[in-house]
Amino acid sequence: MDTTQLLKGILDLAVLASLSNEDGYGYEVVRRLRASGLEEIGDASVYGTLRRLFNQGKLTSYVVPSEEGPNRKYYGLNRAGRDLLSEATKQWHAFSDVIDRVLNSQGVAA
Amino acid sequence: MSADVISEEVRAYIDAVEAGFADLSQRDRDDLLQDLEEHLTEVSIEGEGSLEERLGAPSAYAAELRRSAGLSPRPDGRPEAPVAWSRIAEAFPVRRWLSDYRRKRRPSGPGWWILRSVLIGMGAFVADGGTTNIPFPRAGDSRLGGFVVMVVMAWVSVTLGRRAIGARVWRVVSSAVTIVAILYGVYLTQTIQTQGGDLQTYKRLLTVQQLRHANGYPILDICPYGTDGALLKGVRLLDPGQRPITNLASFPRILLRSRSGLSAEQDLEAPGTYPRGQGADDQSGLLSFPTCPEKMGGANASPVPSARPTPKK
Repeated sequence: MDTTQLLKGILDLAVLASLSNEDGYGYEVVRRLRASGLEEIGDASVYGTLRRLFNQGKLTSYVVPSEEGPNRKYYGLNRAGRDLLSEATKQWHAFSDVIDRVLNSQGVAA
Repeated sequence: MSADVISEEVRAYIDAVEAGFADLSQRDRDDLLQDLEEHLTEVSIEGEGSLEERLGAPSAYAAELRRSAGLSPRPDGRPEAPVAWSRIAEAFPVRRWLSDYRRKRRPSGPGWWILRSVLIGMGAFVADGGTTNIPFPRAGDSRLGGFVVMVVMAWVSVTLGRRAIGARVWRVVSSAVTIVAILYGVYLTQTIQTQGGDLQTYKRLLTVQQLRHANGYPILDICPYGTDGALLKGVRLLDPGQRPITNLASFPRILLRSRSGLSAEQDLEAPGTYPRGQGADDQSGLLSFPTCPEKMGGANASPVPSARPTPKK
């Protein structure tokens, strides 16, 4: 099964989750997702998702000036973003439970 | 103070990605591009291969960025929209005007400049009261109605151009409308000339041998009266060779015809029929077209012009 299709479905959840403990700038989010195993994820997908979530009012954003490198724009979860993260997490667990049940009832080995 | 030096490669990649957003509004474009420079700089600092090797082709990046940002993808295989068209299109973001209360966004861009010049020009015609001889669009008899229709048509034209960027079917419609508009414009110039609506025709007509009184006063019409003094209508005046007498002073007649919509053919059907001006209105308000009084010796009787020769102007 094409994992990129699965990824697109839960990209929002993955991005929100990667910001839940600590704010991060765009490329940092890409690195965190890759480090946790989502190696297939495209840079543009992450940035586009960050913009979309921000425009939907789920993220805060601020620029940290830097002396040595480029200014970095950091993203973080706001209240609405945390609510969305918890809601999406519940949906994901419910969904994956359902799929597990379907697989088990059909006698498919895990 | 961070170094503001952007490498050539990053600049080129940014430009190429931006080309993939040519059909988007300026606001969407700015939104998508704001993180791009930071991202590309980070990637190039990592130094593992070129930007294209690392991130893929700029067009693919642009497509994926706008897709994940929730914007419409561009149809595949379509050539990039010329930038001028997209700027014209973004000049009329009507939906955005309706929904965006907080931002005071005025129309801008070449599209608005063109429409503005058309509106000013049309406004000048309306203000002038139509005393110029240039045809003005009318809706029925209403110049204001014609003006409104022209504004609406301008909006339709720009909206059509905007749609044409997004979908092939609208591009076809837009090209067809353009061709029809050009052909119709050419047709109009030809018909207006044959109806004598331009200055050259006026001048030419004035030099044709025209019936005038001895002092040069133009004879605009002939009012035939019967023996009982009542105005006769529909009288045909022919010479013994059955040739209609038509060379009256006809300058105001041309103006009259183009305004009241009478066609040239009507005059050809029954040439030499008098009185000519009966029942037709002069709509410019500038000339008072003399009509024949129903009875001889009526209100606008003037003394017979004297035979004293007047110097030519």
